[in-house]
Amino acid sequence: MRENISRRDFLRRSKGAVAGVAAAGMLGGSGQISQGAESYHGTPSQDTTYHGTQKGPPLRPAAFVIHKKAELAAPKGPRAVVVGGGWGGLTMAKHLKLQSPEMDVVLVETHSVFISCPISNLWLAGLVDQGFITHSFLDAATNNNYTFFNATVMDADREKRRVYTDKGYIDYDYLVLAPGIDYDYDAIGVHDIDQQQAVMSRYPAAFKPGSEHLTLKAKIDNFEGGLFALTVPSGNYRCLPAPYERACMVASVFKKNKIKGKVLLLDHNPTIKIKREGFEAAFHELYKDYLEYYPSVSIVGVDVEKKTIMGEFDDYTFDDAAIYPRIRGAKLIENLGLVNKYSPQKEAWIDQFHSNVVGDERVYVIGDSRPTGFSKSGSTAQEEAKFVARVIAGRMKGQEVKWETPYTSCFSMVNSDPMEAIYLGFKYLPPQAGITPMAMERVVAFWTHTGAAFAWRDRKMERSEEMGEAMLEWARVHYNEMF
Amino acid sequence: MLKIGRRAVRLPRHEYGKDDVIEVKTRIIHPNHNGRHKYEDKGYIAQHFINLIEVYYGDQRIISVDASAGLSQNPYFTFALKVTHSAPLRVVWKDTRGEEYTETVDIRV
Repeated sequence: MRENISRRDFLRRSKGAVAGVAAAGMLGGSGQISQGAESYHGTPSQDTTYHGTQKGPPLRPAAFVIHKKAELAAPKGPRAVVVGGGWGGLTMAKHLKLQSPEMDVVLVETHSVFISCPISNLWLAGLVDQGFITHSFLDAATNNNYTFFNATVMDADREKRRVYTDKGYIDYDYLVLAPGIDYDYDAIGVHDIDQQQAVMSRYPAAFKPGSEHLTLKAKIDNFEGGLFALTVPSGNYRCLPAPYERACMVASVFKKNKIKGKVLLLDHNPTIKIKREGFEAAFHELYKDYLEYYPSVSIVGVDVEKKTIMGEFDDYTFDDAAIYPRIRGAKLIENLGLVNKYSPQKEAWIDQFHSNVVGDERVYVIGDSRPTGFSKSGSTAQEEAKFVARVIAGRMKGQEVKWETPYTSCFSMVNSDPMEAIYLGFKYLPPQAGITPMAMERVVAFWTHTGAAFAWRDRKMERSEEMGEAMLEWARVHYNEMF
Repeated sequence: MLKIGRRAVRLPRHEYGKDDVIEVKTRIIHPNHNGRHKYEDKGYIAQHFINLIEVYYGDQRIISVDASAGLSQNPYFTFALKVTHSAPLRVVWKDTRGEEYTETVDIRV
């Protein structure tokens, strides 16, 4: 029988043994870490580098982050650091350089490969190959004359204009945060950290590209029959039509392979949230025997062992699932103390006409961590990034750029054979000439609550192959914007 | 695939002590068209909404709701109930097309 040995026990028992030396080393190390942590927000007396000429023992990782300068060439102009290499961040980096060529732009991203979340539903159904949605950050940086820095941002000091990464710090003149989303499992009644881990790893949402998508692809390909549960969360979640599109795509795989399986789509909303006519028609006409849609299901818990999703009224047992919980602004925003306390999804506190952090014109937040009601989609993030790049370029010259709302174009594939899609495009309501402050306030409140004030709108709810082709073209154009 | 009339009544549990006060939750899937929304090109969507909700505890009618077109889609009602005796709790929804939907749960003391 083995006992549970805690670290403390281990240290006591191994006294005098060879392990004792290692243990002493560990203690010394942790002592230094806490020392580093104390001086974290203070001013280090000088910038010493890890491999530099400093005397004494080498710095432990925590201190390393603070004292080592990231290995980047010295900036040749004002430096902009873009945090996050998603749709918003990549577009931002490119357009900052286009708008002000003298600027030195660094894109900091934690992944080394770009996998696109838009179009990934098509890949899940085998309509495009993985190469179509996978791209290289290096190409993006080389083609658009900025620097790609593969690191994870840990903190920022806005007074010193310095951002800390796990590979050292970077000083900035402008900082753009585009960190995206994090999942909020508490909102679907999964509070326990081990339960959260279990749900996250066994039934991943697959809305943050990477391993989650690979796992889901394998689940779909290997599904032998029964119920495959997908969920639609509450709130302003990432890509409103995506869960419905995904339901169609998974059902199309079952239909094509004649699998005795059904997609169980559990929707928090009272009805299909976007493109309702288009999706309803697809559900009825294409996937009648392969899809069950349940609206108004608020999830209050998930039992991983029993493979059950608990709704407020009914329980749903499944054979396999991808559970999309509620989402929130990235935890980085919270860690930096930039959360808007009125945002129910912990999004950033920004001036929504210029996207800078309130009271700090050097730091901007774009993409899915923004608090406005704009859709959290790739297309919107690109349009927004182009505008904010102009704001920053303008402010460098001392000019204010007039506010402009983004427009978005959004395709959803509903049929795989032949490839047929539906389309919705719109521009959010722009500021009216001579609008009164009170009316303005109402417009803003309307957005914040509904995200649905449009200046114009274009809809094609009847699925067609023409739209299917347009969708792939849309993807090429948008990828081209970033790479 | 919107199944009109799918309904549910949920009690915290089924067995209670006498005079316990419990929260009952009810919900029905219903489009509740108020008659003022338009199709893109085909004119107005016909009125079709829940206009009466009744709750019976045993034989006694304990709640009657005159609902109107202002009611939300998939209406969700909760109410507090004082448990006095063992009896079925029956919730009835009626809509403007004359459809009637009933759901019954047992309460035991």
